[in-house]
Amino acid sequence: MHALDNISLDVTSGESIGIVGETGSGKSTLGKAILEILPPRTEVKGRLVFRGRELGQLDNARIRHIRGEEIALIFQDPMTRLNPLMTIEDHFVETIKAHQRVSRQEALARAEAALASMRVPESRISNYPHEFSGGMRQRIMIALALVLNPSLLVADEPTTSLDVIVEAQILEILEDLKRTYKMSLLLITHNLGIVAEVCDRVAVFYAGKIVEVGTVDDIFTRPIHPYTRLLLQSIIHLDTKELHSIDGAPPDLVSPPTGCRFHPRCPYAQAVCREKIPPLDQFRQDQLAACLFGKDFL
Amino acid sequence: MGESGCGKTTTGRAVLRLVDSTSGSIKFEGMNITTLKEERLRPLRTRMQIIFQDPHASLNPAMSIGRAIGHPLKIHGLAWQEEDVKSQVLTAMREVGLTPEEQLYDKYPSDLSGGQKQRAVIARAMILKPKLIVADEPVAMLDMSIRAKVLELMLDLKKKYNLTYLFITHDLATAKFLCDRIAIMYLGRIVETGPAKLIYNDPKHPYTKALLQAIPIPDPRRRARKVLPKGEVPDAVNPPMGCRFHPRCPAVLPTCGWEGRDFLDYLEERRTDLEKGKVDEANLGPLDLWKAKGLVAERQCRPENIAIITEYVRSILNDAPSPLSKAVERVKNVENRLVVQFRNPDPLAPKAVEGRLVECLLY
Amino acid sequence: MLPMLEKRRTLAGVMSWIGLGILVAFILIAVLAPIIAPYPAVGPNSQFLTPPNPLCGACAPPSFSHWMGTDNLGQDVFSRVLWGAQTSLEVMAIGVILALAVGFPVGLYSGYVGGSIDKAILLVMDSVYAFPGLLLAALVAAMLGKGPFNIGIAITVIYIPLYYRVTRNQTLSVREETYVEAARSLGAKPWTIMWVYIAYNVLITIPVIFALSAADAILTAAGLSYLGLGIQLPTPDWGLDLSVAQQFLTDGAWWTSFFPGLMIIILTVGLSFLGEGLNDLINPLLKKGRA
Repeated sequence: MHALDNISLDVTSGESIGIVGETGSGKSTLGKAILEILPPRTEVKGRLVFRGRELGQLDNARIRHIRGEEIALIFQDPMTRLNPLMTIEDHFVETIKAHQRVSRQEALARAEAALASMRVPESRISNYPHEFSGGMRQRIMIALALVLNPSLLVADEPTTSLDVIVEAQILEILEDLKRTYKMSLLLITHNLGIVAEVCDRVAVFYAGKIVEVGTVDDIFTRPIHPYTRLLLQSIIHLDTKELHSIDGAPPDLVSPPTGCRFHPRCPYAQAVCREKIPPLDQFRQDQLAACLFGKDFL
Repeated sequence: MGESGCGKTTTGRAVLRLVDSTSGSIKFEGMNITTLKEERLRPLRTRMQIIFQDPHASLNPAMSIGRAIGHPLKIHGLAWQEEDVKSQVLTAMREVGLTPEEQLYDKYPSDLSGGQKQRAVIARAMILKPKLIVADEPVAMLDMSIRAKVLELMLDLKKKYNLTYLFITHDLATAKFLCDRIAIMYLGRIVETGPAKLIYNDPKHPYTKALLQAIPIPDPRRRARKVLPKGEVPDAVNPPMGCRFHPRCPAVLPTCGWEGRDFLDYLEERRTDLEKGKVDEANLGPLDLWKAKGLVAERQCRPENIAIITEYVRSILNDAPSPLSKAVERVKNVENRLVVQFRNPDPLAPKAVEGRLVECLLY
Repeated sequence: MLPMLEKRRTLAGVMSWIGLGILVAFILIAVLAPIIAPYPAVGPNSQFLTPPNPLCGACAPPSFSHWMGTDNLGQDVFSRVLWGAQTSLEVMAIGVILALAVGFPVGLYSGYVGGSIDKAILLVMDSVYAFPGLLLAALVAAMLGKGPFNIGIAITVIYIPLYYRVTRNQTLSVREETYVEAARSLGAKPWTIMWVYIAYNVLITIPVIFALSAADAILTAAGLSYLGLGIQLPTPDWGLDLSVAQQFLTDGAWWTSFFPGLMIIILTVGLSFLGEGLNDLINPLLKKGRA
């Protein structure tokens, strides 16, 4: 099964890019591929170039060094990444010491600063993960990811299990961090509203492929690919007057549709869409779409 | 509608008597069902149904779709003949768009997509021709492109059968589209309730305002800095005094229910500020010296220090946000204890404000 | 159960297949014993009129006419081993099926109803469970008397608490599933909820302990026979034959104990394979089903 197929994506320094897609679009697989935490026996083909170094050619020790220190990951459910038997303090000290030779005191000072920037009271540093609320835990996870000053933060559905208000709080923190530290952010989410609020660029995934990439303004105001258009229409927001949906369901990746993978659900599909795989072509400056009839949607 | 832990799901279950309520009353079609015995309740269940958030979990994995949808008929003895049940099930399946119905009839839940499973759940509820349907986040677990379809179906059914929905959701946008009236809940209380249009156009309760503002808008041209309430929903086991939203409320008044715990939270919050935190630590020592009890926050002091500490506490209270500092009745010394005493909160009751009920002292 | 075995060529799958193969082979042996056994199970079949080994009666080492030799009474060991499969499987089946038939419904009821009824049943079951199994079976066997059916019941008593426990615990977790609450909201009676919505979802965890307890039951039955509390001579039974044969072991007559013992080991290992294999296969499926 190909969870991802022919994906190519550039992220520039200080940029935040949103990866959007429905369940099974392969968006989470991408994040895991970047950090090489895919399940065993997963085959990854391709190149991952990080700041001019190709990660595939580095030895494991170097990759481990880059991962965590220069590329950090935060997940939907922080509890899966926090060890229930370790205090927050231990988490920080262990993380810092795994990557840098510093004294425990120095590590603690950094941990406190990182927690303070997330508005987590330092008095609670000796508490265990279960003693915190969901929002607090996610803040701790972010502080833990940021304590080593990574230049790329991969956030996989970081707010999905949180309530709207806490979600908005966390998103604000992420935006602030991006601005202060010139960090790049790869935000994986199914929530288009979040992308519109936080990201500079968006890549829309469908059935393991990128169907459209562009700036948020372009994608949200003048999308090209029919899937992007329909997906945007299907969002229910406060100004929704009429409901729209996409017929059918996302395809099975074990035997994906031939040609354009969206063709069975696409209202504009022609016979050729069933046969020819559409390339990701440039239609505007900074806007690429994988649709054979992209020109018609400009 | 409300955030997790506000009690919206429990409300829905209590209405259907799936959980028992400790006080109050539940009336259905004019009948008080609060303490009705389960045996007497069972026949009523044909007229009130529930749709759960997780369609996968609400279907028995061991029952085929057709059997699952038809089972309510057998439970209530409404149809016994296999063919009769089957024909009714097929009709229900067509009605909810679960087609091709003949082929799906013998499938198991694991063979269906999320959207199809939710349709099956709706068909199972509808087959009894209920009057009331409690829908607990019916589309929250579905993909965006499928949500609209399921909501449309629910609207169609409502029109066709004159259904009443109790729609439970955390998603304000969906509620706005679907509901005639809404009730905003926070920590087990309804804080604002009234016609949906009124509330969305001009929310009155600060919590409603905060919720509406927090929703991400899928339009990059309308990005704006938000004024968000701080912190998270506190533990419902021991909710805040007075208005339960007061510790987070951006429009809070001194009379909203400040209490000893709030002072401790204030001290803790100061510690996240590196400078103030250091000074506080030097002057006050560790936070766990303090105890909060109702309207009071207090700590033991050594006799020689008590004057200085009292003075320092007064100074940081002056530095506090004004609703908090004004809510303090007095800071006093009792024997060797330093006591911060808050004033009694003003009584809180739902008030009629511009066509809706609001539970807030601002009105 | 079988379709999921087909799909997986993992170690667990292979183990299950081997276990299942062994079990089926033994069932075939038991059923076909009257046809394939070269001699009757009881009575001297030795062609030797004068025992070649005076110390163990009419026993003779494996030969062309007696593949596994003969025992002290001149009975063909191979035939007795084949016939013995009947006795062992019969006792095992009675024991395990009865235990399931009692333990499962009681566990289901106890777990679903909860409260003080549950606590009371749990207390009784736990007291039985705390008893050493063989001792308990020996006690019951002594009370009921001999014969395969009574031994089966004696074994049942040991395993009822096991089935009860597993069923009850699984019921406790299935009871909290949304589809059970859904059934309640549909107006289903407790009986319907238990048997239509809960029972099957609890039952799918049973094959594992079914196989494992069957393996254990074989050993317990053999143990009872060995102690003289189980099957009585001249009925062919592995445990019994083993117990009779051991007195001649020092005289070099290894074949009379080796072959019955081997059968016990193979069947027990086969059933354990089946149980462990199913456990590995079913558990991930259960978890996946929840997700």
